[in-house]
Amino acid sequence: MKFALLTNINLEFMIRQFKNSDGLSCYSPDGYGVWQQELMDENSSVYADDVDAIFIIPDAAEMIRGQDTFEAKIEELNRTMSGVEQCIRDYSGKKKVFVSSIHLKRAEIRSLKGSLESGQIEDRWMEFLISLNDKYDNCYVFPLREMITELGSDEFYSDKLWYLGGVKYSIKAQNLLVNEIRLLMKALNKKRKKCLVLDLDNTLWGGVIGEDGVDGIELAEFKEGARYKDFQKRLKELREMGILLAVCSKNNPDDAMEVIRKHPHMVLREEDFVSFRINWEPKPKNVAEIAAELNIGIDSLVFIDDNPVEREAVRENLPEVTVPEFPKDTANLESFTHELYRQYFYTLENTFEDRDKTKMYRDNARRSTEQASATDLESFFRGLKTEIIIWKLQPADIRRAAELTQKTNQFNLTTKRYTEKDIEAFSRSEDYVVYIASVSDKYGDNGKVSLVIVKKDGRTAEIDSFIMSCRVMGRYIEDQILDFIEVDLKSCGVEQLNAQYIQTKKNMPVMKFYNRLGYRLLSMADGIKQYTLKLDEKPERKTYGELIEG
Amino acid sequence: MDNREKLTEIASTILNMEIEQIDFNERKENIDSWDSFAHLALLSTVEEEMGICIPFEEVAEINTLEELLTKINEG
Repeated sequence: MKFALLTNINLEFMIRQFKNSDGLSCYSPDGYGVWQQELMDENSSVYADDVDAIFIIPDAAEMIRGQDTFEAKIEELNRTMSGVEQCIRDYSGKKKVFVSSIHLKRAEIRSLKGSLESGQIEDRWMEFLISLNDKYDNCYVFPLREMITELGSDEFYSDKLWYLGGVKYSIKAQNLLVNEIRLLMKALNKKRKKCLVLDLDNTLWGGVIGEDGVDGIELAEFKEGARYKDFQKRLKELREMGILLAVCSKNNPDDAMEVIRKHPHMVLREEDFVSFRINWEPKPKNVAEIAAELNIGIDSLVFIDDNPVEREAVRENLPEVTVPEFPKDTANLESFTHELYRQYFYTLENTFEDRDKTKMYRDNARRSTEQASATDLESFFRGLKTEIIIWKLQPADIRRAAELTQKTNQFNLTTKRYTEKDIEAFSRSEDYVVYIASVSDKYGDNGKVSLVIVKKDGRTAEIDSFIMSCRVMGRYIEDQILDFIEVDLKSCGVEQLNAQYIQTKKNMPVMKFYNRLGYRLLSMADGIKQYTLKLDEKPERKTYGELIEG
Repeated sequence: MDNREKLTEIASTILNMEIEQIDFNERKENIDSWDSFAHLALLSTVEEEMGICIPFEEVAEINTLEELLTKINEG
């Protein structure tokens, strides 16, 4: 990448640093007085195609040199401003333009009352920058004034270099500028990392949850606990900028989640994290799994842990993961987040999607985990030790059977309501078979929960009603019941079984029931679907429970 | 790290030379990369990183790294 640098002072030391550097080169016109001319020249190399960004970093004192009165200084400032704006508007095209804030080194001797002029000039320029920032999408403020204030103007400026060689900023200051430009160019190149993997104990809070308990850990608004709360506040801001946060902690998951869900001073809650790995497995394994789960490159992870052994383990086993040192002094946690942000996540501007990125990744990850754990689900169902007892309706079951037809709305394929009298009539009729089933599992007995009424007509039969209580839905019990009935009917000489689905407001959950079980759809009209199945062609079905004919 | 080592390191960076190539007694006019600009950068870096002050008047008098080291050791 290439950038152009325009300034009115000697920044040669800084420019030299880009001479033999890693893929980042700098164009800067010779001579310090020519920056405005260059800027106004449409054909200048500043606007060459291979230049990605333009940095305009003028020194304020040089800009207004020779202007004696405040009015003259402001006038000079205005002239410069309109020149800069014109270039951004007319020539910069899609190149990013970074214009620096300005700082005036306090040189003149003034009374306290008369010493505010410099501040006014700086502020006037700042207003101009704010308007540029708002008006032009490709224009940003380069924080020179902030950098000078942060380092201290005594260290930023070097009087000796100035008098000896016309160099205004110290070597240290120029190195800071080099870093800042590198970071911005990196951000421009969209090389930012995607996910911050965080430890919990002594990282997101002080102390060890397994030993100190929820009330014993350090996490509070003020004093000691604020180190961690402030750290979390800044991490939350990173999350809002679209950086994914994940947890990787050696802990008892219940202990840790209790803090995350219930501690009054937790800033980061469950929904702020995209993934949790709270277990006793080796961290490199967990970190690799997080990358796989989110489907992002392992080199887009930054791993934060207070424990040097864990950091070393991750560095050793996953060299692509970035593992910064953890602050030795936890009072520096908040500034550590700024360093993390600048080094790995620096962002020129946010998009609307950034705020929702965590949710998006969570949803995607959840879907893939669900698929992956389908086998687990199967063993879960088997582990329930479901027992289904099915029999043909007895007089003692009539009341319950009627009740099932009256009250069941969701798992009810035809929603035909019958009275006890109707049920009794069915059970006496030669043309009807009424099945009833009870279900129990290792947690207890659910009682009579399913009713199936079948109308026979020679070699054909039709399922008049298929009802099951919602208490036992979602466990494939219905598959086993239907399977039994099919076999039973077949043994009585039935060759073809017809079925119906009549749509109501509530029975959507079973809309695809017969499709799923291999029935052929014959017709569909007015919310009524007609199905059929040749019992010779009955498909094999998976069963999870044990079925007993009672 | 003693002053000589520290100075060797700084000189190597500023003068763009390998550590082994650094000769403390070579005069600056015989070292290509030691131009007037490098001279300033060298002295300023030494001042900033080693916390010493080389008075304005003495900057031009320094001709070799050995002389610079003497100034450093004088504090």
